[in-house]
Amino acid sequence: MRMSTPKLIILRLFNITFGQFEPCTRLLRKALVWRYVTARPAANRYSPTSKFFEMSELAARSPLR
Amino acid sequence: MLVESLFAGPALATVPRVLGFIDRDPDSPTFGCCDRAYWHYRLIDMANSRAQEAGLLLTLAWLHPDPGNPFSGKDVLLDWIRGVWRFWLAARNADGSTVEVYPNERSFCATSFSAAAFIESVRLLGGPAGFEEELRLAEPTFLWLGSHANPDVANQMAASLHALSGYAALTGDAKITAMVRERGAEMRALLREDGAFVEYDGLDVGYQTVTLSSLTAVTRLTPELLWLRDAIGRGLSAIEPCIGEAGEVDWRGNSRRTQYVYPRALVAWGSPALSRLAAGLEAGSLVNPCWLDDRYTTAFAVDYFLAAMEVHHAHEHP
Repeated sequence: MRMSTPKLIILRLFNITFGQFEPCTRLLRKALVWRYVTARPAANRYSPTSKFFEMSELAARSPLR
Repeated sequence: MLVESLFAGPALATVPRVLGFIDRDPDSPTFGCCDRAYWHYRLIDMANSRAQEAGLLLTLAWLHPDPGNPFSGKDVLLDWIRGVWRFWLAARNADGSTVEVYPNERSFCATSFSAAAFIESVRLLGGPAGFEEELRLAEPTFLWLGSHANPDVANQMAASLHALSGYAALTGDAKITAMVRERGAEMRALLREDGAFVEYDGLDVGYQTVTLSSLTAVTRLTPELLWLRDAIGRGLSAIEPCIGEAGEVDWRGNSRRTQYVYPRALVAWGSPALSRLAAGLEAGSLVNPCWLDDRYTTAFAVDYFLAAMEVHHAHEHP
């Protein structure tokens, strides 16, 4: 799920209000980790360290023309 | 080392990094998006359209004839390039302008440079054949560019002239051709007596080389702007004394404090400063595309590729 403008505004409002209190930021982090990592199958998890280019991709050709 | 390799080397080294910026999964809803912070990290709510200039970088990587170029002729690049331009077309505002930083922004800078990259990519890939649909869809962007301007910054005006000239050359569109003449006159008015193309009221050596690179492209696209060659010569003369023995510039004296030099125009017009850039690259001391951040590396690498291709072309057609 991509970031949208309404979601970003809601997130920032939370960050600068309830986010001042550490239990709230901890709760947010737990919710995000659950939503984007642990509740998902391994192949579909959010992983910032993935999807870089590998040379082996040059051998393939996608179905798009 | 050959001058061609000095410029092609950093450009080629940048390509795998830039490929990592691109969503290369054809099944993804953001296939072709080149802003990793948007499609992958999901940290921002919109993609920077300037990142789509990666489509031109991939085009040049696909074309560049260097025997050590692993991307040369690899057809998967053609799929990614088309995906990049389809995403660019789909992500524009309704009026054809594009965004760089915030939603509903109508960025003259991003629209000019991304449109110029689009048109150059299509041209280099043999367009308009094979890109008729993309060119048709792109027309509102060029009409928007022709009816908007930002005369405070010459480099953006030059990029818009490049984009308009390219579209006119590929499509023969009469409205856009008239806009090329108007934008050309506006561009000419930005050249001062001392050869500076003004950037917020002053000379900026780095941005002047960006401007001269775009104007060099325009000379290949339209024979109409007869004043261009003389203007480019004057523009080069204005900056050549500011480029040091190792290609460095004293950014403190630049109106926008730019630290780097785009080499393409210097190569194309045989500037004496070219040997100084080459010396800096050989010594490993010159700011080059590998040193820049994600926001600026792509456009800078494109110019390095274009400089390498200018050298190659000059050798083949002395």
